[in-house]
Amino acid sequence: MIIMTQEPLDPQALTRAIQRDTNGAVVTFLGVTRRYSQGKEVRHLEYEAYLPMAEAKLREIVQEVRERWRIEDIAIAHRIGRLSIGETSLVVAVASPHRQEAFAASQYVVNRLKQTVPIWKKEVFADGEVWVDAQEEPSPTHATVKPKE
Amino acid sequence: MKLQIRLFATYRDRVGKDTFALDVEEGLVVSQLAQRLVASFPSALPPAESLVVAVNQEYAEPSQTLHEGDEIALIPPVSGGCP
Repeated sequence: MIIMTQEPLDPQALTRAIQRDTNGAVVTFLGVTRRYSQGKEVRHLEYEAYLPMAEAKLREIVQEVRERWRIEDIAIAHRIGRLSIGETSLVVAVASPHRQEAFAASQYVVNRLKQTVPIWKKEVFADGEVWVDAQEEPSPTHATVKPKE
Repeated sequence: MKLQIRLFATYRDRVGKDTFALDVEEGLVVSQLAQRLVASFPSALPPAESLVVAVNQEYAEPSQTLHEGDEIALIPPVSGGCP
């Protein structure tokens, strides 16, 4: 199941949609918009997609998961348009008989999506906006200083 | 032959258009198109060798030949999912 939508995502509905009684493990990943990016406060985000190609690339990822882990029960939903902080931009739900495959496959989907799917995120700050270059972003191990909450 | 060029994100903002038609000669390959587009919009696009091009919604090789009616998309570095 692949969904690209401007509507708010419903992780519970997506998780329910892929669940079958042959699955003992269900892993649901949520990508959520953060308040801070590179030390600056984000006002809101905008996601844009090259829709037909994004859907095609997501279908390819689903096929890769199917071939690699023999997992059939998978849902990927990505929101586009304007999102406020704290909203969910991505839901990946994966179910399998045992947990190892579900964990591995869901991580694979998230990482792969970030490499190949033509979707772009724009961060809007008080003093400007920038289309994020995910390949240039500091890695999580080099955290920038955040203002105190 | 006519090609349809689509721009997204940074490229669209810098060029100021999200789509335009381009008339090119038969037999043009992706790398030649990339060079031509970069020359037309030098401050908006990266060097031609770095430009990621999709043809009819598939990532294209530089040596790929283009055909009448192809939909070309210039793909800036993607940033979907979450950080």
